Amino acid sequence: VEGHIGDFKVGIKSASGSETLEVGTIILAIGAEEYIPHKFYGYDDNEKVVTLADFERMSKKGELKDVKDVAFIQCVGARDQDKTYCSRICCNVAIKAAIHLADKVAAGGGGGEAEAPKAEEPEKTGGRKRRSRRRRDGAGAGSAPSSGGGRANITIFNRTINAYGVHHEINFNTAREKRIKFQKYDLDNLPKISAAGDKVKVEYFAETLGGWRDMTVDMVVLSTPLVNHPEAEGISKLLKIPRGAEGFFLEAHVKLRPVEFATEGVYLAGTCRAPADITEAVIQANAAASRASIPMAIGFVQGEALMSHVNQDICVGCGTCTTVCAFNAIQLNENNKAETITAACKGCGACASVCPQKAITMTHYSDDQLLSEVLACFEEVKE
Amino acid sequence: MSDDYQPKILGFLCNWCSYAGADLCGVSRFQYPPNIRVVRVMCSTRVDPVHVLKALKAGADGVFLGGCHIGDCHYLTGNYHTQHKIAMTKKLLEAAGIDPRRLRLEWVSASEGERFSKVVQKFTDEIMEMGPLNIKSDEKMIARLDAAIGAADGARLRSLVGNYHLVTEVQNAYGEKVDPNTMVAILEEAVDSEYHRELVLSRMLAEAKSVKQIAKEIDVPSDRVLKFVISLRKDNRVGDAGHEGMSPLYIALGTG
Repeated sequence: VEGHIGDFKVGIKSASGSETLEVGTIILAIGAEEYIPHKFYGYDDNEKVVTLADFERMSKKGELKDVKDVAFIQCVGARDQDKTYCSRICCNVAIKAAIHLADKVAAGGGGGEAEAPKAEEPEKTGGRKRRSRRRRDGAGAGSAPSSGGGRANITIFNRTINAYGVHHEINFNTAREKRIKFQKYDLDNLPKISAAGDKVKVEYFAETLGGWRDMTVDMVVLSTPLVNHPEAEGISKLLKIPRGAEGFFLEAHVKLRPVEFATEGVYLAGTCRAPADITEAVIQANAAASRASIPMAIGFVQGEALMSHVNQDICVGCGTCTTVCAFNAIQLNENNKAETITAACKGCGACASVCPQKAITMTHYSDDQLLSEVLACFEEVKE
Repeated sequence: MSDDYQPKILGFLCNWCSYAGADLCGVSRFQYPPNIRVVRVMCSTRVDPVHVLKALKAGADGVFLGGCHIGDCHYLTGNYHTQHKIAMTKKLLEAAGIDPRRLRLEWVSASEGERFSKVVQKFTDEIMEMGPLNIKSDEKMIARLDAAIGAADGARLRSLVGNYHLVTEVQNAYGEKVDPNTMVAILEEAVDSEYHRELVLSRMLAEAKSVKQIAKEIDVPSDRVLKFVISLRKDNRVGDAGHEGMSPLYIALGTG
């Protein structure tokens, strides 16, 4: 990626060759990936222990015909177990998956077929820079009231349930009506998983009963947090955009400029910013698209207000400024005097602070202005 | 030092990282001492050593400089230059007899709100321990600081610092890479002589003096003072002013 707002040149390499796009703005929507819980609850060894996304994939493929009793374990690898943050969406996705399973079993079919509530799946497409946002349909997984059939024995082990917002709260209550159990655990007493024939034994500490209990289930589903896309680091360097401590992209301002970056002309949406459910991702995508459309509708970019200006009477043509400028925005002209190339200058001020002759002035950040600010900081206030 | 001593600290924060970090620090409700007064600059490299020294002269007890982490500079290489500039300024402070720890350069990214609060707290504590600089009541210190400002203003140190990154990381005019250690030695020597040259000049501002007099006043060997006087004279900054006995007198000419 080269250039600046209004004039980006994006080179894209794919299997079918490479091409260069000339675009005005860039919206990042590279998504996130699911945390793979190696080392947690025998995930690596026991094929009956799967992640939430695995579970949904299997459900969709109809591989869960015989599955009735399921234990969900929330916050695996999240909230201080490996990652520090709460991934926000997993409680809701787990509740939806549980309701879905309960309905299927109630209808007499075991978990399977038909559509399953979809989690925010990581996008693995090659075209990660695109001008238009990509719509995703909201998962409107309606749940039919249960009647007849068997009853699934579903337990959601959680540290706290984060079912925020109106519709998630409704889902949570629906789940309770369908007798899905919510069992608390804490970090000192993690549930223990062991294989029991072709089933799985779950031991857990029941605080209200003051002791360890166990249950046998067909399957254990681990809800793991979303983690940043593996490409995020490279893209962050490529576009010079920051990432937060968790590896997700960091917007220009959490409250005032939520879908923009400090770098002009680059926007973001979806789970590359932080875990988000589909509704939120769509809202962000709408926001990013409308923010990006503003400079595109205006059609021109105003130059930087901050620029360097060389006083050519003082300049001796030593070229120190040209060596410190990272943008080649100041060069010696035919008279061997430094000259600012206004379209390229970003206004950092590197040249002004090294000019041996002090011939360079920064607009709005002149030496005089800065010094006045400094001196004002230490003025004695007379009372 | 009284118990209610509150140091005055000046903070230059770069617009893209540290200033945003300070903003995040506030938004996230992290606390940091109110002693720091923040001046926003577009890039940490905008900060001229002269600004730092003049801030100290104006009454700052410490100067804090926040930039993006190395490699993260919004202006690609700005913070590399900042590093060299600040290293040079610290040497100047040392020459002027001011604790170089009063100048602190830290990298704070836009996401490190908590870190901003921590480094500012730590720096404030350190300044608190060092106590006030009390520059305004100390004329000798002001004279030394003025000499440092003069040296930082001069072409030699500015072009050395400006070309530091180029000659150590890319190449010099002869296509060679200069060993950073060599460059540090060159810079140290330059800081020392530029500072003393300015100090010599400052002695001749008010009245005409002989080399011997100056040497005694600033405690520098007279042959060295003579060298400075000769170079100052060549630059038209010092002129002849008669003689006293056998020793010629010199006086500073108008700034130039």
